[in-house]
Amino acid sequence: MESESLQMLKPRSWVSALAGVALLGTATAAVSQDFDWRQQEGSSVNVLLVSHSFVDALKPLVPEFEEMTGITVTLDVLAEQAANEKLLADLSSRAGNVDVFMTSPLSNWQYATANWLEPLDAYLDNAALTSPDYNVGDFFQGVLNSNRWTRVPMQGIGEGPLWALPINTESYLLAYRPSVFAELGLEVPKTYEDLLAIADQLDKGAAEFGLITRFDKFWDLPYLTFGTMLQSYGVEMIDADGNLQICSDASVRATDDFVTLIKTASPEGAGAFTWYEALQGFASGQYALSLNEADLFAPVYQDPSQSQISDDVGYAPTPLGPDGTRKAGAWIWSMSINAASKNKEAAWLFLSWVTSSDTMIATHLTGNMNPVRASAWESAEVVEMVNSWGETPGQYSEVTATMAEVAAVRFPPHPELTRMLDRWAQAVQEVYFNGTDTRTALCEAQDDVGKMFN
Amino acid sequence: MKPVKLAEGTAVALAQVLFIGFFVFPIIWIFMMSLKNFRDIISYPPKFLFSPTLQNYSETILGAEGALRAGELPEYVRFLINSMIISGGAVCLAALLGVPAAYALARSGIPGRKHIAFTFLSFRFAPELMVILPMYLIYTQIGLYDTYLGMVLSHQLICLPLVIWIMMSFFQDIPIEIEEAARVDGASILLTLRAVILPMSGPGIASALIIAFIFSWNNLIFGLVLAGPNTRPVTMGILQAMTFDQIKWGLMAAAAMVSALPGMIAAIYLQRHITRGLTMGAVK
Repeated sequence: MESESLQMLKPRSWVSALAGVALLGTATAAVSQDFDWRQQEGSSVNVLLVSHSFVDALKPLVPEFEEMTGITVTLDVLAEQAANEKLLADLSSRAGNVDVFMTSPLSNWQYATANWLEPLDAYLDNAALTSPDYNVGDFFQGVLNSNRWTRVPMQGIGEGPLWALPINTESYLLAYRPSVFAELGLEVPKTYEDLLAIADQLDKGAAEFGLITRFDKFWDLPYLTFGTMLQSYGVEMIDADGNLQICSDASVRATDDFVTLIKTASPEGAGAFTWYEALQGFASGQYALSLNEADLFAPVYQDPSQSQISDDVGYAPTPLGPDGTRKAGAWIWSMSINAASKNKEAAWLFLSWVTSSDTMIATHLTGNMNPVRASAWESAEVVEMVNSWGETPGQYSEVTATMAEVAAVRFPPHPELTRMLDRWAQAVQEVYFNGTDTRTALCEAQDDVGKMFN
Repeated sequence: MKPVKLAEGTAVALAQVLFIGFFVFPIIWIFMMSLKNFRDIISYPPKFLFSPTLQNYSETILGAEGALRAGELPEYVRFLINSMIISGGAVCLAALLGVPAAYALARSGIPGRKHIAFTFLSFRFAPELMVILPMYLIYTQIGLYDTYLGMVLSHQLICLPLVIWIMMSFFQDIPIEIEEAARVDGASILLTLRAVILPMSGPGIASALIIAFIFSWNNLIFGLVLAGPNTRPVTMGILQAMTFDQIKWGLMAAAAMVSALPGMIAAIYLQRHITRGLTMGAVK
């Protein structure tokens, strides 16, 4: 489904925003003298965070905020699933313990529908609450607006109230080991056809196995990684006429090719790989290629203390589909304010400080990738760090720029979307594990998903 | 005959080794993992020979380098202390309430005592998820959320049934004639309990309390929902090694080893009593 409103999300607008806002970014710095950061002095803010490199990067900066504002900040950091459970307990009971929390558009479609989120526009527009150098125009507008939604199921994404502010984005790419490809005399694949042709040769060199990618039974499969492949094959969950496309010809073909790739080039058990295995497997040097995995794994690949391949990794855009199309999924970590919070203004001061350009840049330099503000992508220190990643200088930046042009959230906003995508992922798993006929498995999933809409 | 006996002996010994290996191997594996660096942990095939490092332990116990804020205890140590306070407090309270309750249920003729005893047991097998949300709401409203008192009270759902049921069967094992002799000599019920029954029940109480302590120590869900950053127990601390993009296996292994220590020491030291305590209820 790529309605008019979704066009806003197309990162072409991220890029044009980048060009347009660069000037503003430098002009408006250092005018914050008049802003009263101490207006909420003495209050406290509870922040629920998901364990993530963003949080490691943010933690050391928080005392600066406490000193500047006189607000006490309590950070509660939990593993992703534990954090979600705890957050749901707090939101659904409207206890209001948690003031600010990490979330994403996908989760927010559920939370916003239940009236659990505080709309942020009024805070942004209030000069008494938002520092004049905040510069909301500096965000890539496509990324920012993916947190807007009218709360009408199946439409209105990118419009309506702003439910969250973004803190980083993730898209997908190929990571490969140049030494293995050189040894085997292979080219890094440009299309899925190329990849299928060389899949059985990838493990003939120094790498034990050919390729790795996550292949779990959850929503992230059709939404993010395999989703990137599906979209390049021309599959979107719902077409312009509102019909489900889960078992379309293109979807069957993409699924067949995907399962063939995994069966040919991945070890047994690959059907249960999550992103942990994907990240750690590739970092351990066992694989020649990492297919459509998160670009923000790069800081780990490049770090010699965490990776066996820190001097032997290159990046390439995801392969082109059968008719030469490249599209990709996107993940946007964001932060929201709890509608039941008792300290909303202090919570806003914290949120606006976290997402300010200076704080964002400081987090990017210590592992929070990828930037959501133009000024952050252009910061000299960020540029220098990122340019050192890849087989050749600047390779990572070029690839992420290429992917940013095609990365988007191409799914209908619906509170039940994760459950629908779980069902879709289950069908792909059935094809791999049970050898179920692809079309049968996908069409059954499509029927079940259709029922969830009603 | 002799060779047959020898073969039999060998077979038994071998079976024992296999059996012990089956139970001990996971602990050994986690222990080895806790001494490896990240690269050795993820290497394939798994490495049995590696240069051990104490890095994971120092990072677990002292916190990551430079992450310590002046004057604050490292996170993991705080989690350990929290667990000690919560589980220790919960067991003390459970002993105070549970032992007299068990005695009453074992000896008195209260009508419906079987139902009462069963109600206590049902706290143990009802899933904690069933009560956790209402408890969260009540706790936030009356100010028990993220407090030691609140955690100790919530852990009564774990400790109290264990103490009552283990002690109940223990008391029932004590010949009633001893108590009757005391009563004939003019001792009140409370004096009989204090001066006659309790001294005889030392091993039973010890095992009940230790089993309750271990179950309480291992609990995750109350720590997840009802505890906040101030009272978070060590089981949640172990989970901190799971980040969004990776699992820090080494840290997790080291944290698991350290947190398993109190339970392992207690279990080895009081092994005999525990077996007695556990089987006590089994034949009833």
